[in-house]
Amino acid sequence: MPRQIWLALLGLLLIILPFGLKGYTVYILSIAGANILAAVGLNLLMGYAGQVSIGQAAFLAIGGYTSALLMTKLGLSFWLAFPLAGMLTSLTGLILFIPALRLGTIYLAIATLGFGAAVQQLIPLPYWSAILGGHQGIRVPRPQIGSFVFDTDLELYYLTLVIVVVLLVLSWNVARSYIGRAFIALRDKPAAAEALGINPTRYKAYAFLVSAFLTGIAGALQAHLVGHISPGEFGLGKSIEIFAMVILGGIGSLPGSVLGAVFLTFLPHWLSEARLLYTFLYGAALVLVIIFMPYGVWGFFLRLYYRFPAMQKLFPKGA
Amino acid sequence: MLALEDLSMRFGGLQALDRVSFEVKEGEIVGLIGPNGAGKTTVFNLISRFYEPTGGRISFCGENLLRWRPHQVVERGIVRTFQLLGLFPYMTVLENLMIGEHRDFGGSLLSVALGLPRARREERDRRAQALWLLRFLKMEALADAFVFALPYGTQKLIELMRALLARPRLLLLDEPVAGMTVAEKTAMREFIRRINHDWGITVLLVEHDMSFVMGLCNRIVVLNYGRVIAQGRPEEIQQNAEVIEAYLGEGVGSARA
Repeated sequence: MPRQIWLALLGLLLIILPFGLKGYTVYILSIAGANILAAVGLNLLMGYAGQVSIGQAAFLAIGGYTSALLMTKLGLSFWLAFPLAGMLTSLTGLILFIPALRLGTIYLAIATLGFGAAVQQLIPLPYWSAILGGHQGIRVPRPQIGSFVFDTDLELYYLTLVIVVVLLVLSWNVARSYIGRAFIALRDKPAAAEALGINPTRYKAYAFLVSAFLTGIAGALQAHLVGHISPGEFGLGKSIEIFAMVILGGIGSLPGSVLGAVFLTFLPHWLSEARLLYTFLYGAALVLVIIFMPYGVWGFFLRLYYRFPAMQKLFPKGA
Repeated sequence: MLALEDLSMRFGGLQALDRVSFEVKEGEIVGLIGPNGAGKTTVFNLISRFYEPTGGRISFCGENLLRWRPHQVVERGIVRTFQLLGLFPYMTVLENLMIGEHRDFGGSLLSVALGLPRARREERDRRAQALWLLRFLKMEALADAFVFALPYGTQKLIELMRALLARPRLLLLDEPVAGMTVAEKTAMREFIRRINHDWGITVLLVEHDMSFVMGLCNRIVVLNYGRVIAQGRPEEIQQNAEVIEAYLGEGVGSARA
């Protein structure tokens, strides 16, 4: 019961939150929402299923372009184009699943790196610049349901909130199911997992499908929030950023990924005053967190939880 | 039930198994013994289909076992435990047990993600089944404990329980009492007897503790350097000169680690 109360309070807080904030901050909160989905998508793949990817930005790009093009070129409405973009992206996830069947961790990392680089290089090629817009990219329509257009920062925030909450619930359901347990089993002891009937091919495919779906949705959401998409956004830096969100929040923990994504989305804005020192401070902050919170921010909270009985009274176990 | 015929396995220059043949009949408890490196675990890994044998056949209930992939072996009713624990350390006891029930889950990825009633009911039923087994062994207090924090003997027992939840017809136990105390060994022996007698599960086990093996098994197969050097009832094995020479040594019946 107390768990439901805390979740309700959190929900209420998220609903009234934008009223105390500047429009720009509300916008950044929405961007953080897209990043949450990308981080959770990578965490299910990397933290649960043990498949490292440093090419996730490619799925963001595929999701973003797909949703935009389905709306502008095929005239689909947003509520059709948006989920469809996620599904089509999840199918492209199977491209990485094939090398994952054969490659060990480090080699898979390199393969995903190559995948990310290839997609980013392919987008601006002149052959399809009439459709993809080359380096300049393309305009992305605002989300619209019926005749209602999500136009202001506030409207986009609430749309994002609903999308993120729904997908977090779905992700949580998968993570806590027999499928999530099969991911972990194959990660930790593949032989034992197989001997108990877990088909490695099927569950690796699931991991890539789920991960690419969430990341594709994240990319589509970000594209609709920004209103524009171009290949420059989807370099190695973006893939590493998502990677850092997962590590920072705590690998294998979905709440951790939420915190990691929000933190790393806002950090550049908090540091923007520092201008020249910005990159240095960003790096230093990462290093400090890794040193002092080796299990991520969520792991750090869990340690506090077990150290201070008062916290255990406030948040009973099982939450 | 299980028949190995002229089974051979070569790793590079090492002939791990050389034309091994023996049979396990339904309802038996068979012990597979022999010195370290004799090929006992290799036999298990071949039955689990982790390796492709370089020669010979394995059949189970008349079917050619070599046609199956590792994850399909359990569907036919063969479940194993591992010498160095096959438990998943970062899962709770209950979650580990529910991995044993893996093949009883059938909800699609979509129904699981959406939390549809069927997927929820499946999860609830499997959980109840695993809890029932824990309660049966008076271990329900451990349900939410993380496996890595538990004593070794307890972990061994949990791995056996997980194997049972996979509904085996033939259970392969790789050193089920290694590292256990005398009391734990006695309890384990009684438990395996019950599994065999009351639940009708056939058992093939590898173990170095000779008093445990002699006191439990109906029949014993002895391996040495990848070859079967003897098989028979425990009394026959204890009298066999070649077995004493290769493995048991003088003072038969004493434990040997």
